[in-house]
Amino acid sequence: MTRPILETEGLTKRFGSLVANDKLSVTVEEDTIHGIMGPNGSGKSTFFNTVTGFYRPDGGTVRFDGEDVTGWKPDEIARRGLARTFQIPSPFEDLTVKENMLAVFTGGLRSGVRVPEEKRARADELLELLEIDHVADQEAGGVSGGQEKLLELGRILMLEPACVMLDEPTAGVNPSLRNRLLDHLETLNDRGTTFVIIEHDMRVIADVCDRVTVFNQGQVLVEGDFESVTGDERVRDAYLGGAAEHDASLETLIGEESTESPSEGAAADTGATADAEPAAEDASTEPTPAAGGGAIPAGGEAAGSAAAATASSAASALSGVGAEPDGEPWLVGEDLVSGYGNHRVVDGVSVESRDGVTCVFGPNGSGKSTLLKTLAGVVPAWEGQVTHRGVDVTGNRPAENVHRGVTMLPQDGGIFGNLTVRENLLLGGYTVGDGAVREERFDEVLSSFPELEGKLDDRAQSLSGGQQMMLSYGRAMMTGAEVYLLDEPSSGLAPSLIDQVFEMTRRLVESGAQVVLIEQNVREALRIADYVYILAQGQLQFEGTPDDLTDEDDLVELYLGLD
Amino acid sequence: MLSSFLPDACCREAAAGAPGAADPLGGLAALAGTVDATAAQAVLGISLPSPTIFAQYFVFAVLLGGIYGLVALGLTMIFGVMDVINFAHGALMVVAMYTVLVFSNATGLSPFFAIPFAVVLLFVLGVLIYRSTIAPIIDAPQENQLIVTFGVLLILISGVEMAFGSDPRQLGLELGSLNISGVFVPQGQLYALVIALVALTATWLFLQRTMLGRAIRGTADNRDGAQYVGIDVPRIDALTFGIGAALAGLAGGVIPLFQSFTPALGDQYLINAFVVVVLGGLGSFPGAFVGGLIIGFIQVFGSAYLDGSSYQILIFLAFILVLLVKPEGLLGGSADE
Repeated sequence: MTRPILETEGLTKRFGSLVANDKLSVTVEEDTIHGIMGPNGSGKSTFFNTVTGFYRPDGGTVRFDGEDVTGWKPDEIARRGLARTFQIPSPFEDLTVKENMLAVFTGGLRSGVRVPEEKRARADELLELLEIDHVADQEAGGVSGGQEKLLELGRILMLEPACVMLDEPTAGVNPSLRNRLLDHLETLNDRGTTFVIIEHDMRVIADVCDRVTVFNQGQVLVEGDFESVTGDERVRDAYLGGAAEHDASLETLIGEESTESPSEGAAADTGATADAEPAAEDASTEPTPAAGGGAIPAGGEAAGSAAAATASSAASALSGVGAEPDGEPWLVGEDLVSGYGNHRVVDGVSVESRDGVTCVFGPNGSGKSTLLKTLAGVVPAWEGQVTHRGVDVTGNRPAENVHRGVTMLPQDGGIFGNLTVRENLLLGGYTVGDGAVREERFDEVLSSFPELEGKLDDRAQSLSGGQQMMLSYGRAMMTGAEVYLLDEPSSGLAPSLIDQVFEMTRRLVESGAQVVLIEQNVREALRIADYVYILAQGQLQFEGTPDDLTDEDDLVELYLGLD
Repeated sequence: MLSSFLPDACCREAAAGAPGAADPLGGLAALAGTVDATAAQAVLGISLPSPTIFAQYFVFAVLLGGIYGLVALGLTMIFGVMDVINFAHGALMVVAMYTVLVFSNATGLSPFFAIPFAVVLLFVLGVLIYRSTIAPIIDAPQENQLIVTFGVLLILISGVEMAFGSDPRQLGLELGSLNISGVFVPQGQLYALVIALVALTATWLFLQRTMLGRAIRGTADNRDGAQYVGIDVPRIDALTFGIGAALAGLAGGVIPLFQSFTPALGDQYLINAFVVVVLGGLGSFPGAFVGGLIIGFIQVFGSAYLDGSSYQILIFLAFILVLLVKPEGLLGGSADE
């Protein structure tokens, strides 16, 4: 029972200067279901690709079933008994479901011309087991997304693998099918198949995994059973964002402090992060009690609205729509359902933009970006309604919403790389009919971002990452919006720039706008949040003020979608 | 794909002996041919051309290159903004040629009045074609759009053939030539070049200086980003396709000034225009003109100094060389600058 079936030692994979897998040593025991989790970009899929021979490792070894398979070709590894699926199923669309199963080359080219009886029997058995036998004679291109996933699983099981690696098997699968899939996994596991699964859905990990390995930045962070892993402070840091050192300017700007204190049961691990914040704590005028922990802002709301009140007159040119905070939600989404193809990503979510910064948190793949795009009109809503100031804007295109004063800042900033900085900013004012207003706003933006002034005639793509982000903020400000939808503006930026992002976000609020902000770095973002929504698996897990999130354990559970 | 066009292109060169004949691209190539003949008599036995002859070729090359540049301009614009390869570009030119013919015959006015009319008509036609065929499949794979524009080409060309037949037509315009110290400058081509340069400048100024022009360039650069600043991308697409078609109209409108034409003429220009666009860099405006000049020079000097139509080989050798050395084209980039 404790025989290791798959072992990697010091497995390393580099892409240029990026070390995607950094000396990963993972041991998978036979007959277990082994979960691999970790935030986006932590190297999970690369690990799968390197283990199964799709990438050549730059170092380290892979041992499977007692044999060194390092550097083998993918098909050799698959026939040796280590099979895998991909995140996106890719059946042979013109073949029937059953033909897809039979197309598996169990013996390589020696499989021969004739399909042996036992192979047919196995295909029938698997189709029945996976409950897709009723579509056996349909073309695989026509079956549903969930059936595709099951077919993908069935197809690799034709190889009679000893170990199967599944890359996000439940992504985009509805709950009932997900449970069926998990049942099948457990049945197969009972029959002796080992599974290694990458999964973002924590309920899946909690339900079926015997052991869990957590990756972060290409390294193994923690290994253990689910409870011990999710209780580990390092895991929380990886998911919620560590409280990195940042300069005190933001704290002074928004007049709040950020306390970091150990939550119960993980005291030892938080020592370092707590130490990182003494300056902030000293500067604070109103320290929150340390109990419960979490970077919960204390005076954020009051300070924010006070600043907004004073700033709304000063920055009149920026609040072009003449927005004054009135306590009303301006942009409201009700029971929104949307997604891509037949893949439902946002599943009945109601959100409102409020005065100040409304934060949307959630793990990767929880539907945050899609929700924001649905609000902006980039992704059409399948169900539900979006209203702006009481007017139904559900069917609006994004351009129409910009005219109304609802602007979205896409995750990559969406700047025009080949156009100059000046042209980028001017195009931000595309919807502004009055040239004088555009000029005035242009000057306002430049005084907000003096760094851009000397770069006006440079191409936007020649700017540094931080400057590009400034430009995308500045360009968004040129639209004179009253509701800003910001999709992870800090992603891909150096940690030292995150404060700057929050400062600029705050500046939008000061101009009188309402801001909806998606952010991965929950602890940091909580410092400027006035209202919080937490999404998981496309559904709302929590909404309320940051003060309601007093217990970080609750936050972790909400965030990971554990109900 | 291009190689399949080659025989066609060669045939046309073989026919390029008699000026005014129906041969496609006949005007310039044929003129070059006649001059070549007289020059050959003058310099019989001398291997190097006299400075006058050389200057003559140079003028022809520039004139021809300018036309190619103008033809490529609309093509490269539509590609730069929408990533759509517009196969109907040559057909749109043909529509413009016959528009100029009909307009001049009907009104008795100079063809120079017909050209602006053709440009406006082609703009409208372009917008209609965009709305009815491209817009519904703008998010489909590129080959779908390519096939649809190919379908538009067949419809347009067949329509023109049904209405006017496939016999060569001409305006009956005798513009003559200027003689500048022994160098002939055919006035038809000269006007065409001037119009091409004006069109380039005007289009460039429009794209650089106006808000709408910036919006077109912004959309070319980042379609997603464009919608976030309130640019109505489908409208910009319609406008771009309209302008591209109008430029095709301009190119088609000036061609009757110096050569006879048939419904098949558009395709022959289009083949070289594709080479020009790729040579200069997809989506690049100056690239279109640089590429046009290169092809113009290769064609004129090649047909003067090489046997038969070997210059065609030279065109595609240059094409392949550029693709090898600088795959994005000589001035590859986006529609701006």
